[in-house]
Parts: sequence; C-alpha cells; structure tokens
Amino acid sequence: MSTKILTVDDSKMVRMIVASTFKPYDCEIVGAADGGEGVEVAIKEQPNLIFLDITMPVLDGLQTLQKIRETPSIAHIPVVMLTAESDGQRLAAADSLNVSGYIPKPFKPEQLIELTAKIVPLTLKA
Amino acid sequence: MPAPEDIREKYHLSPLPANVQRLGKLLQGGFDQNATEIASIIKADESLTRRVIHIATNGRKRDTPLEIEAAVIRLGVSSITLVLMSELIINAVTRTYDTMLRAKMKPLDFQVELDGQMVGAITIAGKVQGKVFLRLPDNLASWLVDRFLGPDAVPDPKEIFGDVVGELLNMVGGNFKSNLVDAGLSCTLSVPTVGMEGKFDPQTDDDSQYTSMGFSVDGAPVFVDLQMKRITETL
Repeated sequence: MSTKILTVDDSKMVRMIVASTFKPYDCEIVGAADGGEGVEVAIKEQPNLIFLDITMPVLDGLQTLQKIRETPSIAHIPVVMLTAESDGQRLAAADSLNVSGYIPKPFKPEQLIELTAKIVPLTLKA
Repeated sequence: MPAPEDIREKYHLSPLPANVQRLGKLLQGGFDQNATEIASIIKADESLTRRVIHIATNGRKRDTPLEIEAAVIRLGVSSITLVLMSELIINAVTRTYDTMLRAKMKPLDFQVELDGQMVGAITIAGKVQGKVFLRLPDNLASWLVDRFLGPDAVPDPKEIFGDVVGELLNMVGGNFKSNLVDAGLSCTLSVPTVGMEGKFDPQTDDDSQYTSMGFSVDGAPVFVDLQMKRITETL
C-alpha cells in the first residue's frame, strides 16, 4: 500500500516541488491551498503524513495544526512543518502541538525524503 | 517550556546566526549606547564594518580612512539598525536562491530601471513595521520556473511566475521576520501580494527608512527593497 502525503501550502509551486520530490517513490500526493481546505482534505483522504506551511490565508499553519489535533479522526497523523518562519515563538508553538519535524524554507528536496523516511514507510517504485 | 535553543536542537535547526544576535544586542542597548559600544558590536564582523564605513562615506575614497566609531556617529542608531536589518535580508535572499535555485547571487552596485517587472510585497507588523519588496524583470519567468520545477514542468511559465515570486518572497520575508523575532522584535508577517508593475514606487515618508539591494543572477537583475518605520525606542 502506498504512503499518502498531504501538502498544505498556498504556493502551487511548493506543492509541485513536493509532488516531484516523491515521484520516484511509492507515494500518493494530495494538496491543499490553505489551512481550512487542508483540514477537510485530511479528514477525507486520511494521509499518512502532512507537510504544513505557516504563512497561509484562511487558517494559518499553527491554527490548522491546532484544528488537526482537536479533530479525533485526524489527530494522530504526523505533521511536519515546512515553513520559512522558524523563530523561537513559532517553534515553541509547533512543538507544543506535537509536530514530528520542522523543515525551514528554503529547503532541499533531500531534506523532505530524509525526514519522511524516518516517520512513515517510504519505498521506491518497482 | 523548553528553552529556545533546546527546541532548535530537537528539530536539528542551526543555532541563531551571529548577525541576529548582533541586532538583538544593538536594540537592547539602543539609544543609550555610545558610539564606542555600538562600534564594538559592528567590529565583530569585518564585512559589516566595511559596509557601515562605505555607507557613511557614500562609497567615496578618503585620504584618511574613516574609523568605525566616526561612521557610527555620522549614521546614527536608526541607520545602523537598517544596515543590520538589510544584512539579514541579503543573507536570506542569497541562501534562498542558492538552496532553491542553485544560483549564486552577486551584489549589484547600481540601480536598473525595470520596464516590466513582477513585484511582490510582504508586510511586517508588530514591534517593528515595514515592507519587504522583491522585484524581478518579467523576462525572467522561464528561467525561474525551470530552475524551481525543472524544464517543461508547466506549459506556460508566465502563468505560475506570480506564484513563484510570491513563494520566493515568502521565504525571504519569513526568514527575515524570524530573525527579527529572535532579535527581540516580536512581529507578524502577511501573505505576499504579487503583481506586474511598470515603475516601482515604495512610497516612503519621513517616519520610514528605505534601502534597495540589487543582485545579479545569471546576468539578470533582481532587487529586494526594505522599507521600515524608524525605530525610536529601545527594547
């Protein structure tokens, strides 16, 4: 069974970079353009892992993370912050909501793969 | 609550850069510090020292080199703060281009009037207020999209050009904002707004300071502009 990854980021380009990074792997990639949509997609798709930006319209990343943790059907899903905001305040807030990783932007695709492989099964396509 | 440095270590993030600590130190001492104290903060970094002297002398060569203390007196704390902030921006821009686009940026010492340009703006609000602009010529769309996503990833690079500029600015602005917060200036960041413009007008006033930083990437000019409300209080 393939690993399903949800990218919640208002930048189409970032969603495309994540999708192309995992192309060689047995992964299904889904995306959402803001926090509100991200929660809806997470409930419907039940991904194995979520990459979450912070600076977004509608619900920002930390509000979205709070919502994910409060929603029983998706509260257990590991979340990795993928964001340009990595100051002490943001880090402490994300840490208190039990994130599985923090990748500061700018990032290299290898960082996504390396961290993902530590959290969920990641196998190359046959 | 765990200490900030412990959280950084937990998520394998680099320690706070020296230039962020320098800005924090300058702002904590602020307007009560004398020139020697401020100069000692700047002197810790040779290239920053050269830059402050260069700005204080308008880039003109002198028979007797200007001492850093004299440069500090000439510029004043507000301008020195802006120099330190622009240093953070320069680092954020070069790191973003290097990491995401595998492109080395060279500083550009002159301004170029761009006829058609994509302009991104991001607003910082809180203890410090201002805007960061990113400006790129519109003919850079294909190069930029290719570098980000690989060749032929999208049929028309111009369609996604605005999104790419917005995300580049989000990375630069997000890093800058994080540096300001870690230096003691609590603030928030807006989502970027992006649009095509002819002539660029940052609309400055007496309360604000403005500086424009030019770069050359693969022969094409890129500008980052910083407009900040003058800081008049210590932390």
